[in-house]
Formats: sequence, structure tokens, C-alpha cells
Amino acid sequence: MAIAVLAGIAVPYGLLAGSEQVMAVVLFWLFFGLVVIGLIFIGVMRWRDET
Amino acid sequence: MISPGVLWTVIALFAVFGFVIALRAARANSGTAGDYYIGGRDIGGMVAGLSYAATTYSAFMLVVLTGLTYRGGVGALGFELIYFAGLSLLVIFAPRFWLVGKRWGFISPAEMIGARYGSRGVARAMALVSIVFLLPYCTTQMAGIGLLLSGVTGGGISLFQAVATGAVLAMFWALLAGLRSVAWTDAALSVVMFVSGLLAVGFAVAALGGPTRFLGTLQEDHAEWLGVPGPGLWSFPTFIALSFPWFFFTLSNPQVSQRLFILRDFRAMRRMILWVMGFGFLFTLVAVIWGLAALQLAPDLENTSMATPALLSSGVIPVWVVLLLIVGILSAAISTLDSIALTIGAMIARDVVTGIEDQSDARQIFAGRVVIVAVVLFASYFALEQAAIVDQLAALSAAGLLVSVPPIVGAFFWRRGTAAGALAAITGGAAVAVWLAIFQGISVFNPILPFAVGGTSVGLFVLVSLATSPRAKALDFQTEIADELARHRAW
Repeated sequence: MAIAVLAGIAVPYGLLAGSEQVMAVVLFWLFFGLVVIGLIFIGVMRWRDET
Repeated sequence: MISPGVLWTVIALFAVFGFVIALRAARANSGTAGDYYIGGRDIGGMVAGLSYAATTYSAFMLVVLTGLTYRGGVGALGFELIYFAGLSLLVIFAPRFWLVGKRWGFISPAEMIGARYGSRGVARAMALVSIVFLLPYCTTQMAGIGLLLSGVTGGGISLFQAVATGAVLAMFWALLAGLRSVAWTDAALSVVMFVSGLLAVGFAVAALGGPTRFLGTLQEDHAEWLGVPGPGLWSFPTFIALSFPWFFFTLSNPQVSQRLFILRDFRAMRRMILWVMGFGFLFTLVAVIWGLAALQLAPDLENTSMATPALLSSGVIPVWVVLLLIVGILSAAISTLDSIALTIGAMIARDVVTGIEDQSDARQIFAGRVVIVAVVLFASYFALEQAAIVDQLAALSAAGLLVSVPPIVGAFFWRRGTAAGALAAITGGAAVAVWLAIFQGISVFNPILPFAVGGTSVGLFVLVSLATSPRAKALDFQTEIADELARHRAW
């Protein structure tokens, strides 16, 4: 998750800054949001529910 | 402009709807303090998740975030998604909060931290610092209600009438049955927020010729808004300055971290997180698209915080959707306000007032109710007065509340952390926050502010802890819940 968060900042402001693809930053951040959802989902699905 | 009469009718229907839900929720209360403040630790995942979402996603989203998008473009999306990524902290901390809360009967996060370090002073400091930064945040919610209702009616509804309406609703829903009425009304309000936002965005995009045309025009006319730093607002330092403290919102803001005590079981915890995640991601997209649509439908606004009112008045959104969205924004503000009021009530009743823990449940609930009334009246008064110091403290709230994060992390992961270290982290960090922002005039857009506050707090926590010894009555969370964490396969 730490890597994802760092990428969520570094990629738009580094790799994609000045990109000719106008929608590149938007699409990257949408992808980033989905990755975050995926990682959190994996994190909570391993929990055992027993009381 | 919306007719005041029409808007009053809609607000009256909204109030009746909320009152019915709150009254039904009140039936389940048993009269104990634990029941009043945290719903007897028996709230299911969906209600907890929607309540969490309504509390955390305030009027900020459809007013301020849309304004930031209008002014600076999709940097607002990135900022909000970094905040969203902070929900991942729940995977680590939600099981720990819940397990220790259940084991020792904690009702507020401050009470938990005080017990962990064996110091009532730590609990009191954390509660007071939270109050200092959260009260102004309440005021901004109230001010938002006032500006929205008076703005869309062209002053037909006065600022006083609007604020009084918000105050009555927030107060009643929090007073009636505490967490149960707050959680149930929050859950219903979150649906109103989401549906109204979705409808409004749908009509705005349709007015621009549909999704393809909307994106095409955006790329042609406002290409700069689709990148970073965009037209100017979202420079790298500004992005970091705003994102860093908001990433820790889940831990730093007691009105949301207290929600981790209310859950019935691990299944409810998982469902809560999934609901918050789904709501948060979609609602973020709604707010940002709304801002980008305003850019095209209501161009050249000087005051970008007026993007939402301008779009609502532009004539492209049907009146019934405008009314629904107004109720949605009202819902967002009230659900945040009543949750904060309830949490502050719990912290003062349990952590600040000496000896109250030995009092009867009725007295603890009464103390909390008095505080809730005081909080709402405070927020209302200062919303009407529009005091500059309140605005400054509200803007500072995210950075200021960071000071509770090191003691919280240390509570679960560093046995060597001491009461003196936690106290130094909270008070020292808060002092630095106020000094930099109020006396040195350092803006919340300057990364020096959150990093200085966070750095001071971490530094003091570590150094003072190493220089002092843990108290004899300090609790060892790590050892005490290790077996339970393993049994539940929590990280």
C-alpha cells in the first residue's frame, strides 16, 4: 500500500507531468483508486469472522 | 433562485423523514452510557459503513472539493484519492481499536489512549486538542448550511434561519438516542447525498451533450485542468501539504475512529469498510465531475467556492434535482456536525470531567447531552459571527489533529511509548500547529505546516518516551490482544 500511495503521487507529478496524453493523469488516478480498493479488499477478506 | 416557500417545504419533509428514523432508532436504546455513545457495540456493517461515510464526507465534498476542481482541475481528484487511500489504515487499526474497546470497555479514542499509557492526563489532552480543532470544523459545516440556503434563495432564507434549522436538526438527532439515532439518520442521509449527487451530475453531463461530448469539450477547452499542476492551484508542494494530513484522517479524527468501537463483530467491520470504500470512491468521482461540469456550465467565476451554487442556479439542472441536491448537501453537513457533537460529548463526559466515570449512566449521558447542545450552539454562534480565528482553526484542523497519530500508532506498536511521550507529542505538536498557522501565518497550502506539526509530534513522542519510563498501570495492548488478532487472522 505504501508503494501504491507513493506511486499515486510520484507518477502524476513525475512520469506523467507534461504528458501529451491529455487524459493520462485522470486515467492513472482512476486506476490508482481501483488498486487501493483491491488492496483493502484483499486485506479485509482474510479476516476470520468467528466471535 | 429557489422560492423560500418551496425550499422550506422540502426541508420540512426532510426533517420529518429524519425524525421518524431517529425515533425508531431510539427504541433500541437501553439507557446505558455505552449504548448512548457507541450503540452498545452492536451496530451492523451497512449502517456503520454508511454512517462512517456520511460523517467523513461532509459538505466539503460538494462545495469545497468542487470549488478546488473548478479552480485547479483534477489535482483535486488525486488529493481526495490519497485521502481515500488512508482508509487502508483501517485494515491495520480497525481490528485493534475494536478488540481493545471491547476488552476494556472504551467509549472514546481519548479514553483508550489514556488507558494505554496509564494516564488520565493523556486522555484529557487528546480530548481537549480534538475539541480545539473540531469545534471550528463544526462551525464551517454550519456556515456552509447558512450560505447554501440563503445563497440559493437569494437571501429569502436568512443566514440566521438557515443556521437555526441546521442546529435544530443536528441537535435533535444527536440528543435523542445518541449514536443510534446519529448512525441511522447518517445512513439515510448518505443515501440522499449519493443519489442527489449522482442525479445532479447526470443532468449536468447530459446538458453538456453526454459523457463523450463532455470529455471532448473538456479536452479542447480546459486541457490544462486535466493534468497537474493544472492551471496553478495544484503545485506539488500544495498537493503534498493537503494530502499528507488527510491521509491520516481515519486515525486523527475521533468522530470517525470512534466508529470502530460501535461494531457488532468482525463481519460487521469488514462490511463497514467495504461500504465506506464503495461510497467514498464513487462520491469522489461525483464531486470532481460536478466541479468539471461547473467549469463549462458556469464559467469565469471569481469566487470558485460558488461553483456549486452557480451550477444549481444555471437553469440546466431540473428544479427537483436542485432541491434534492440542496437536501443532499444539508445532509452531508448535518451528518458530520451531529457526529462530531456526539463524539465531543463523549470525550468531555468521559475524559475531561473528573470523576464522571464513577457516576451513573444517566449522569454520563446527561453530561454528554449538555455538551452536544453547547457544541451546536457554539457552531451556530460563530457561523453567524463569521469570526476569522474560527476559519483559521478550521482550516488547520487536519494538520492540528495529526498530533494524536503518533500516540495512537505507538499504543499498538511500540511498548516503549510512555505517558510523558504521548503528552509531549499531543501538546507540543498542537502548540507548533497554532504557532505556525496563527502567529506565523503559514498557510495550510504550505507543506511546512503539516510536516512541522507531524515531525514535532513524532520527535517529541519518541525522545520523551525514551527519556522516561512507562507507568506501572499502563496497558500492554500488543500482548493482550495478540492471540485475538491471530485468531481473527488480522494483520
